[in-house]
Amino acid sequence: MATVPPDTQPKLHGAPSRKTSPAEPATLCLAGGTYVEFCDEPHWDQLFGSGLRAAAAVGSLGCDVIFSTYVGADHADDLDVYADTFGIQTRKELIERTIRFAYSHPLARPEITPPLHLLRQATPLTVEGKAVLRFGMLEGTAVVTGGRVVYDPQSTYDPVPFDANGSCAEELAVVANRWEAEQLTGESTVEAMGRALLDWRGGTVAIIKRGARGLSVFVRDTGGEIIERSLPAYETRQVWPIGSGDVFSSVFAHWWAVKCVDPFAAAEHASRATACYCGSRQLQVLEAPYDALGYELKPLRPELDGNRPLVYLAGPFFTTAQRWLVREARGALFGQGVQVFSPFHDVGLGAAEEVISQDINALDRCQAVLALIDGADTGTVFEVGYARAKNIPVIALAEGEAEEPLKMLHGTGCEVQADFTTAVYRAAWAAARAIPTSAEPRPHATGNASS
Amino acid sequence: MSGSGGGGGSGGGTPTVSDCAKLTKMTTLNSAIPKVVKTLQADDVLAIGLDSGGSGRVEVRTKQGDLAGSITYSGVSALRKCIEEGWQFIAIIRSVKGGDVTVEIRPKAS
Repeated sequence: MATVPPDTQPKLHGAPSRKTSPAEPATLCLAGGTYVEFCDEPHWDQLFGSGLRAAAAVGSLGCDVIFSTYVGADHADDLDVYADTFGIQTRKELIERTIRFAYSHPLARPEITPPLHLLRQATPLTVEGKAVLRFGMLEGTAVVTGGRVVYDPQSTYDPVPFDANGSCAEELAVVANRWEAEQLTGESTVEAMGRALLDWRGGTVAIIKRGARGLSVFVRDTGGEIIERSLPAYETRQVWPIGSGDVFSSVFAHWWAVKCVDPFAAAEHASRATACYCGSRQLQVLEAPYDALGYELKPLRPELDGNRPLVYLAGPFFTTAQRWLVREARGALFGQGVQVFSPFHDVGLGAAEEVISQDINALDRCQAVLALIDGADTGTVFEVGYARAKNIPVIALAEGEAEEPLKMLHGTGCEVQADFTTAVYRAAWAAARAIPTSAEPRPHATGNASS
Repeated sequence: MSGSGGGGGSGGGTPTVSDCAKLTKMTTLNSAIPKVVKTLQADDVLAIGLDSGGSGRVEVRTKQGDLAGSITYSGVSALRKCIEEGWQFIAIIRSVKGGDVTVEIRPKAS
């Protein structure tokens, strides 16, 4: 087994698969959670969590990794199999039960077991190394002392500053999403957030992830000056977002903390590798030239000149199940930063003469349509046809339809997707692509869209 | 994906005959080998075994012996223990979407 007793100097496994210069640390020390991840659709039942996924990703890149984590006694043996599979050395701290995240789909809020209010905080892990990646954890914390340290707070609820538990780094890179950065700094603009994160002790790099808008990377150079660059996120044909942040942080840590490359180049590697992961659900695809998906990665548009695209959400809402799906799709689209017109939410039930004109007006204004096509509701099919006649892109979600009834959709240039999450992302991206590149304001405002 | 799941727990101890005989699981291939995955299609039957190099990895191979990928899932240690006890398992391909391969694991009929 790949377990390393906590108090012994770890011996590196196997023959080194990469060449290291004397200046490069040979090993990445990694601390993070090991959690069960379950998803109804697409089906997924794995033991990963931020820490284990990141360790597996770094192991797949040929980097030696020592992984410190908590794991329940119920999954300690499983962790050994994962460690053997991905070439990871582990330092396990046993807890009562492994935390489980269950999703109905990858964009849904997960059900966490045990519930957060019943979680007991375990004894802190301690990690020392020249190159370290630390994730925030629900069940405990890792106190880190390191040379080059990457910190990803990984908290949807309460991100904490790096040094709040006594951690310290000679050079610190913070990788956070926009919400986490806002919570950590109290700032409202990305630039102010980046600068505030660099003010942390050891602060050298701050990366703020902005979804489809890409990354804002802030670097303090040796002269103390701050350099900011925007880097793109990349479009993929399929989208599996669970664990994408873990992959980003791990690939960045591999390149910046272990391989000692320029932080902008490391972030670019991480962004492309993350796209390859999202497009495949695989961890062995994270290396340049990033061609594992079989198609060229296209950068997403980083800025929309202040405009937020409008997606028209077409779908039946006559049963509880249909209304649930409409709600899920609407919430997921909002999560992608677009405006949404949902006939169910924005017009509601009513006489045809009252309802139709509002729907058509919104169709005329939207940049893309997401059509929930299962069941082939006549209203939805009409909306699809109307949109295509006006050359508005249509992404159709068809999970249960046979190929034959979809012929008209395929034949008129609709993009048909069988996966809910992919359909949501693709609709938001299609709408963003359709926004004019000039700074001209859009001709109409959308009164019903959520902010 | 109704009907998936099952897959007899995890944890320590020696698995019983009953545990191994009933072990079924729907999961995805890890570290799928692209050139092998391209040759796979639904209903293909692959062999499951431990890495002959002794790493402890649970591997999936075609009838020709080509490595298709490895198996992990929440509860995979039970599968590894059953294999170590001498049980044989197969992976039936349920879907291939790009590099994303879904397989159903079940005991090999004797």
